[in-house]
Amino acid sequence: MEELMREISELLQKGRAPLVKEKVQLALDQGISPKDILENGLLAGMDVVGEKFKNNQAFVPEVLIAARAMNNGISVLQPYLTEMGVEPAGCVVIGTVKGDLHDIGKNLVKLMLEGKGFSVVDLGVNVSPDRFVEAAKEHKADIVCCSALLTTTMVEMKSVDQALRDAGIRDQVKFMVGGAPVTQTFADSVGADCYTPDAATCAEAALKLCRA
Amino acid sequence: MEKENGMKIDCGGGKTVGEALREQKALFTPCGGRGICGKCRVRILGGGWSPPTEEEKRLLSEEELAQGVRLACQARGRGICEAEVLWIPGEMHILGAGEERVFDPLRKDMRGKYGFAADLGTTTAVVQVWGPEGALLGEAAGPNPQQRFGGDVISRVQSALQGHAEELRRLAAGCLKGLLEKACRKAGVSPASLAEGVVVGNTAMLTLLAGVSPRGLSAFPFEPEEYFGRWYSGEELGLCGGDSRVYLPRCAAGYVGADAVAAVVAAGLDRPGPVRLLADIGTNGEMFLAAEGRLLCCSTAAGPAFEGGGISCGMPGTDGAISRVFLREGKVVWESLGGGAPAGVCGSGLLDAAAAWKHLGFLDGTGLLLEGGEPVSRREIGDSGVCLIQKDIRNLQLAKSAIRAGMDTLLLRAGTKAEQVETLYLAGGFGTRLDPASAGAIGLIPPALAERSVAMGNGALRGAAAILLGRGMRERAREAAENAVHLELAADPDFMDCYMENMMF
Repeated sequence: MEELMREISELLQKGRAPLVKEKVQLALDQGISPKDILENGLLAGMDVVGEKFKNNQAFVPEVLIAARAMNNGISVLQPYLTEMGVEPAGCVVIGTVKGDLHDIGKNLVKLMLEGKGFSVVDLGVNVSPDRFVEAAKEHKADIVCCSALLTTTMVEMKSVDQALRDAGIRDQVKFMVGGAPVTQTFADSVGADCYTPDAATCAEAALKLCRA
Repeated sequence: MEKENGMKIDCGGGKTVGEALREQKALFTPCGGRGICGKCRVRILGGGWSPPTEEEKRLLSEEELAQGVRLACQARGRGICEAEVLWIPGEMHILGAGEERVFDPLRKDMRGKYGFAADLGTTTAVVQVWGPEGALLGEAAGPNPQQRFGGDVISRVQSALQGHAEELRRLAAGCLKGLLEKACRKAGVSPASLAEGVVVGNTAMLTLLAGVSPRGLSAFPFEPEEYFGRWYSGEELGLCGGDSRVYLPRCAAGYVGADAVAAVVAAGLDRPGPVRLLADIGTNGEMFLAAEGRLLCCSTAAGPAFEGGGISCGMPGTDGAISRVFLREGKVVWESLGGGAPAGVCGSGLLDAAAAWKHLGFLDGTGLLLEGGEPVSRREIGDSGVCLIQKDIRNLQLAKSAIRAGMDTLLLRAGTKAEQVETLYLAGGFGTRLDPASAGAIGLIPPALAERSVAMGNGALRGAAAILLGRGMRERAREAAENAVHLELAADPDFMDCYMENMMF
């Protein structure tokens, strides 16, 4: 079993989506539990990619193809996971703030979060504060993540914090912010619970926030 | 500790070094003092100081912090303090139009008159004074003093919206006025005798110069309040007095400015002809494609990597910057601007180094730095003592991919291919300095176009002079700006695909 899990992890790191799918099926056929396949095969592989990305050893395209392979594997597992009642690590609502159309950084964060076992609701780009609030309510989100790439649009993060307060759900969610111009000082000024400088660290921090 | 370069700084009221030195030109602050780029390093020598901020802990090594190295935008002093600015930007190697051309046919109403053409760049400004027969009489260049509000356009827009609009306007006008006087002295004419002028610049620069609100430029959909393509009195703009008038040519979009449009008419892209591509590569890359009688344009955010930002030992094209790297008998050889000891690497040197390393197998297709097949965290450029780290390569990958993806998306939309392009015009300082072979080798430009590229120097300034002096050129610039189809790339799925694809080497 360990051998097969390592194989799945390594194929995932290389982004070999069809093979990952095949091996996940094989593992199921051998009676390995879906939870084990998820954690020791798929998420373990994505962890390695995340760590390499954090250290600049792997880059955006490699993360994207690895994540595609992971999602291929998860699609095979999903019916079993649902049936067995395996809960995601938490629910994250994510989006790029109003006035900003940049989504690469946001997509990377989304993939890294999925790689940590979160269910992620992606609201896309140019997202108004109200839409963040609606989605957080609808999906009973644990975390709201805001991304911005422009100094002129990152101020919108303050509006998201305010909208969460106005809706009376600010104490029910953790508020995370990120993006190239965002700094710890800025994150503090908009009342964020957490800021991380990169996508991989964000996923780790999110896991800590949910377990706290 | 060496104290000879130290200076007394009045940090009264808990000012940061950056705030205390704002009126002086001693600091290099590409990120506008937000604690992101880590370029404004100082060493503290005396006085009481605030503890290092999170930003400083992230950008400075423990060793540096132990030596008293701080960031000027973060370190707050108590009262009069002493510190040494560790890196003072040298004289910029600024590009003039590079051509003393008589415009034929000359505009009738400019006969017998003096005029000026100016390019108000985000980083530098250049002014030319032209004589009655269409001859170049004098030229002057200098840094754009608005840089104290940040190196990129967005920081300036942000500052203007935060109540500094009038100061930014004054800085731009003052800079151009000073350069005009200097160019006039060289030309031996009085500024009062200037009858007309043309000022080009990106949309934000013209917006700030004209005192128009830049709000539209701050967020999607990036619609400017004013596209220009109109006359102002010289007095109104604060450039020259009397009855002089100044024309600001029309911009094509919020981030495709009159400077790019001017380069387009200077290269004749608006005229019928084969498929041609023009790119002005800077922090913001502006691109035009002429194909089958149509003009398509787009802009793409490359970030500051080509100007030294986000690169650990990056610097602008000033003295001491490694600007050329090449292979001689299989060895990496480098040249620095001014020929002195290397202090860092500028954009063209960065491209060359990456291309040379790729050729030697020190850089793989994914952008990983290698030594004997194993990943290494840094590599020295030849024997220069200047190193690039893995993160620098990543920032280069993002920057080159943004530019290339813009070109590829234009080609895709026009239904043509890079091989079909007859000429690639490279405008601007970086575009002119870069080695097209290196640019092709790392995929900043389509490799097929490396040998078909033409460096056009300061295309924007050439265009401005053409609009000032050439018959019908003003109308051509207006038509080019109006007719150009602008592609908004940020939300374009094709652009995203191209962007991912081109991130590799």
